[in-house]
Amino acid sequence: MVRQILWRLVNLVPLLFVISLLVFFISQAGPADPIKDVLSQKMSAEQIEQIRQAYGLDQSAWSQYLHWLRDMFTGGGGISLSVRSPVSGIVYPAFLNTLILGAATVVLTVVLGVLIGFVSGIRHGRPVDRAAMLFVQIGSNLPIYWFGLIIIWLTAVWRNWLPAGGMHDLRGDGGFGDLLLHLIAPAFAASLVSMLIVARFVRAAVIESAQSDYIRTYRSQGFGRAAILGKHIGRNILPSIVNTTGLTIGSVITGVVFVETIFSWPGIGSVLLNAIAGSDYPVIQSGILLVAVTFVLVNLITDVLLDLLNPRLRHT
Amino acid sequence: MTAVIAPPRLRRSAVARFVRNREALLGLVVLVAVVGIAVLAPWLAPHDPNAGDPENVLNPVGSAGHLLGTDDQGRDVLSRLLYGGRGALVVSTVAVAVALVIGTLLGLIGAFAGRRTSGVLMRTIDLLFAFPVILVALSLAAIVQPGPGVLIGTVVFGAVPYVTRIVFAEAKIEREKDYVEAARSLGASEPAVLLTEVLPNLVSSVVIYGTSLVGINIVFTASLSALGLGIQPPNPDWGRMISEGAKVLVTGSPGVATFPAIAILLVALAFNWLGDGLRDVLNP
Amino acid sequence: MTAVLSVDGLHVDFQLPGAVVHAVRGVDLEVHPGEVLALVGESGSGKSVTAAGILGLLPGNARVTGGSIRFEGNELVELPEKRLNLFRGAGIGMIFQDPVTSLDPSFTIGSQLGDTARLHLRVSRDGAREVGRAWLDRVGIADPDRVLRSYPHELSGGMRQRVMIALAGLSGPRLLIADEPTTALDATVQKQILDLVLDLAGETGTAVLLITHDFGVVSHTSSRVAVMREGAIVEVGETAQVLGAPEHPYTRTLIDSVPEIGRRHSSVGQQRRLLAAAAHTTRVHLSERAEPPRPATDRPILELTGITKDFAIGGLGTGRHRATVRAVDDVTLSVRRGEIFGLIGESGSGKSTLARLSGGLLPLTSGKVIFAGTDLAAAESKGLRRRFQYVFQDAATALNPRIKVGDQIARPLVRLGKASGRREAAELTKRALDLVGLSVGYADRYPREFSGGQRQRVGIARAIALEPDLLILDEPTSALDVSTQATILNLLLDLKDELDLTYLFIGHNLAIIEFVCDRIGVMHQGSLIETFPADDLFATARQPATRALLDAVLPIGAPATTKG
Repeated sequence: MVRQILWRLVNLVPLLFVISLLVFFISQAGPADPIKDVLSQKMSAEQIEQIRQAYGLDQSAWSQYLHWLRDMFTGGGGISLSVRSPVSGIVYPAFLNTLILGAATVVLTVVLGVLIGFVSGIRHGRPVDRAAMLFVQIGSNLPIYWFGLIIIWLTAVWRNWLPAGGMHDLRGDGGFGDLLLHLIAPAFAASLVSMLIVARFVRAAVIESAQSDYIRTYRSQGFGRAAILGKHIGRNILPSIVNTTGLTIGSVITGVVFVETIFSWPGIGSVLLNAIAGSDYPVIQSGILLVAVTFVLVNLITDVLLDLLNPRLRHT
Repeated sequence: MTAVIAPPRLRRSAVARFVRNREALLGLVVLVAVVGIAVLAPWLAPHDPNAGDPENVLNPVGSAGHLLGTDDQGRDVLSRLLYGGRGALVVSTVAVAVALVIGTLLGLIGAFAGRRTSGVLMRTIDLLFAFPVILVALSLAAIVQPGPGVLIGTVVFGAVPYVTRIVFAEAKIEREKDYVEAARSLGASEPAVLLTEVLPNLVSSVVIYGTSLVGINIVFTASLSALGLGIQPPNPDWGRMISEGAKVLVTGSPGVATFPAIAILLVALAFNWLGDGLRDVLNP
Repeated sequence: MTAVLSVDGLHVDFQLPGAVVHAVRGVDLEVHPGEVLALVGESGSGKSVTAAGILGLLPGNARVTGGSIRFEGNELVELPEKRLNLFRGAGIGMIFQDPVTSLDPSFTIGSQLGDTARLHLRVSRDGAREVGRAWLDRVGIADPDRVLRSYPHELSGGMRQRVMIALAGLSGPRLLIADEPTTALDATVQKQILDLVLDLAGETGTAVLLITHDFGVVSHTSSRVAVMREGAIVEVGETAQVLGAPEHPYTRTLIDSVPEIGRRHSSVGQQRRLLAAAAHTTRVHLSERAEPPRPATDRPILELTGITKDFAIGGLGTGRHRATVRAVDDVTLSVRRGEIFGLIGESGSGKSTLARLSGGLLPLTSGKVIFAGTDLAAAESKGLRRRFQYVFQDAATALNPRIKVGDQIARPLVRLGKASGRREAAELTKRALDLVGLSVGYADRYPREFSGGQRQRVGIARAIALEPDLLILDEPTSALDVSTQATILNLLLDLKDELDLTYLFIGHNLAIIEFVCDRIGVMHQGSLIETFPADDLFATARQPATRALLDAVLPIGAPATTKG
C-alpha cells in the first residue's frame, strides 16, 4: 500500500515537469516582443534594451525557463510586466483566496451532490426523483454567469441576506463569520456544475447498487430497508463518490474562475484575466502553473483515497 | 427444425420510433427553429444589432419598436438576440465535430493497440479528461488573443478526452466479442476489422454523445465569451450579452441579460432532448 | 400433511415499454414438509420469476397480478414489505444462481455472516462470529477462520456457493428456495453442492424448492417434479414416474433431448442422433448419397505438437503486478481425417485456449500447429485459412450485430478468395443457408431478429460456406436451451456426413461429448491428460481426473435419493 503511494508520487515528477514546460511555452508562443507592446514608444533603444535585460528576456529560452522555475520555488516568480513588482506578491495572495473559495465549493459539491443523488436514487421513479432530475437537467445547461448574477440579485439586492460581493467587509475586520457570509453565494454558484455531475453519478451508483444481486441476497434474508441502505449501498457507492469528486475538481476550478469575476472575489481567476488583458506574461505563467500543480496534487490525493477504499488492493 | 420459413418483419422503422419519442421530436423542432432563425437573422431582425441609439437607452420590454427593450447603449435586444446565436452554434458544432473524429480515432487505437501503448495513451487521456478546461482557455487567450479561436481550441481540448474514453470503453468491449475474432480468422486485415466491423457498432454512441456535447459546449462557450475570452464586442453574442447586461440586471433591467440566458438554456436543452431521443432510436 | 408452500393460480406480468409480457400464467404448486420439489423448464419458462415472486423479490417492472401464495397458511401476496420481512430468512430462505454477484464485494464473509446471525439469532458480536465459524464448518469449508476474514472475490465459485448456503441455513428456514444453485459451477463441484443442500435439508427437515433446467439434477435430488413451459405447469408428479414415463409431449421432448451417458450405441445400425422418438430433423438434402460417408482414416488432418501458451497479465500501464499464466502446457495430439475428436475439461482447463490456438486465432508461445501437413506458422496463405473454420459458443457475440447475416457469410467468401465476386458469393451463401435449414430470405436480416438456435445455425453456415475440411467447434451448444441444443447437434452430425467434415469438438458436458465424438481428449489445468476412444470411457484404465468428470455426471435414469 505504501509502495503504491510512493510509486504514484514518483510518477508525478515527470508529469509536473511536462506541465511546467507547457506553461512556459505560453510566453514563448505569444507575441515576439512583450516589452515593446507594453512600454511606451518614447523610450530609446538602449533603454528598452536595459529593461529587457532587467527582465532577463535577452537570454535563451532554456535559461529563462530555469530562472523562472527557480524563482517560483524561491518565492519570486519574476517581475510583473504591468505592475513592476514581484509576481509572487500578486499571485500568491490571490491564490490563497481562490483556495478558500475552492475548498468551500468542493464541500458544497460533495454535500449537495451526494444528498440529491442519494435521495433521488433511493426514490428512483417517484416524484422526488423526477423533480430532482428536472432540476439537474436545467441546472446543467444554465450559463453560470447569469446564474451567479441571479444569486446576487436574490440574496443581496432583493433581500438583504448576504453581501453583494467581495471577500470581506469593507472595514476588513469581519473575522471568520463574515468570511462565511461572503463565501456562501459564490461557492454555491461555483458548485452548480460539479454538484450536478456528482448528483448524477451518485444517483446512478445508488440505482445500480439497489438492483444488484447482493442487495437482493440481503433482502431475501429479511433485512429491512434502512439497514440495507445505510450500510451496504452506502459502502458500495463510496468509491464512486470519491472517484466522481476527483473528476469534478476540474469543473470546480473552472466554476471558481468564472465566479470570481461576478462576485468580485479577489482570487487568481481575476488576476489571470487581468493579466491576459494586459499581456502580463510572468503573471500568467506563474498563475497557471500554480493552479495546474494544485490540480495534479489533488488528483493524487483522490487516487490514494480510492486505493484505500478498494478491498481488492488491501491484501497486496 | 427444417427449412424454416421467414417470419414476418416486425421492425418498426427508425423514423416512426423517433416521432413517437416526444422529447426527441421537441428537441429537433427547437433546433431547426433556432438554426433557421440564426441563418435568417438578417431578414428577421427589425434593427441593426450593433446600432446604438443614445435616445433610447434601457427601454423596457414591450416599448414601441423594441419588443424586448434596449440595452445600455440603446441597441435593440431582440435584434441582438436573433444574431447572437450564430457564433456559438458554429463554433460548438465545428469544434465538437473535430473532437469526435480525433476522439474516435484515439479511442480505437487505444482499444486495439498493444498493452503498453494502450496503457500510456489512456492514462494520459485520463489526466487530460479531468483537467480544468479554463486553464486551457486562459493559456490559449494568452497566446492567440481572445476570440473564436480560443473557443474552438478549448472545446476541442475538453471534448477529445471525453470522446476518447467513451470510444475506448466501447471498442474494448467489442474487441472481446467473438465476431471480431471471427472476422480476423475469416480474412479481414486489422484496419478492415477496425473500420468495417467495429466502427459500425460505435457510430450510434458517438452520434448520441456528440449531440449532447454540442449542447454542453454552447453553454460553456457562452460563459467564456461572457468572461471576455471568446467572441469579442461589438459582435452580438449571447454570452457577451449576459456580461454586458450584468451591470443593469440589478438596477431594474433584467431582460438584457436574461433573454440571452434563456436562449442558451433552450438550445442546450434541445440538444439534450435530441440526444436522449436518438439514444432510444438507435439502440432498440 | 399440510403443505409448507401452496401456490394457487399465480400470475406475474412484466411491464415493458409498449408491451406487457405474461411471464407466469396461472401456476399451481405445492411443497410438502421435508420434501424436495424440482421446478424444471427452459429459459423463458418463468421458473425463476415464480421463485422470485414467492419472496416478493421481483424486479421493478414486474408485478403479481393474480393468484395466491400461502406459506404455512399465511398469505404472502400483497403483503407490505415490513410484514414480508418477517418471513424472509426465518421462514423462507433463498439461494441464488450466481455466487459471484450475490455476495457483497465490499464486506468480508465474516461480516456478512455476522450481520445475518445478529438479525435472526439475536446473538452478540462474538456470538455471531462463533455461529459463522460453525456454519462454515458445517458446509464443508476447510479453513473457516481464513474464509471469515476473506472477501468474496478471494474465494472460488464453489466456496462462494457454500457460503451462500450457510447464509441461508443460518436463519433456520422451513422452506429453502434454490434458484439454479449449480448452473454456474463446474460439474465436479455441482454434485458436492447439491449433496450439501440435500444433507442440510434432511437434517433440519426443511422443504426444498429447487429450480433447474437440468433433468440430471432433478433425478438426483428430488422426490417430486413440476415441468414448466411458457409460464404454466404442464406436468407434475413423482420424479421416478415423470422421468420414466412422461405424459406430456413437451416433457418427453426435453428428456429425449439430453444424451444419456453410456448409451451412444443404443440405436444399433442407425445413425447416432438425439430425439429419436420425434423424427423431425429432416432438412434440405442436396444430393442423394450414392455411397455411405467415408469412415475415419488414420491420416491426421490436424497435428498439435508441444503446444504451450502463456498469458501475461498486469504490468506497466494497467496498475497491477506483472504475472505469467500458463494456460496450455505442452499439449500434443492429432485429429484424424473424418473423425469427431472431443476435447473436454472444466473451466480453467485450457480447452478453449487450445481450440483458439488450433484455429490460428492466438499466437503460440511454443510448439507447432500442422494442418494437412503444413505448418500454420510457416505458411500464412489464404488458401490454407479456408480449409479449417471456427464455430463459436455464443452466436450472439460471434455475429456482428450491425451487419446483415447474408453479408457476414458472403464477405469472407470474397476476402479469402473462395468466391470471385458478389454474385458467386451470394450463390454460395444461399447454399450454406440451405444446408443449415434456413431459407434464403433470412440473408437480409440482422442477428437480433433471430432466436438463439437460428443464430447458431448462421454461425455454422458462415463456417461451412467456405467448404472447409476441418471445423473447430468451441462449445457450440452450451449457450442454447436443451431442446434447441439437440436439434443443433443433430444438424452438426448431419452436416458431417453430408460434407465429409472433420470436427474438433470442445465441451464441458461429458454426456454430450461421449455421444457426439469418436475419440475424447481430457484436459486438466492446461495439460492433456489422456486420449481414448469414446467407447472406452468406462474402462478402468482412465485417469483420476477423467473419473472425477465421469462421477460428476448426473444421469437421468438413476433413482433419486428420497428424503421424505
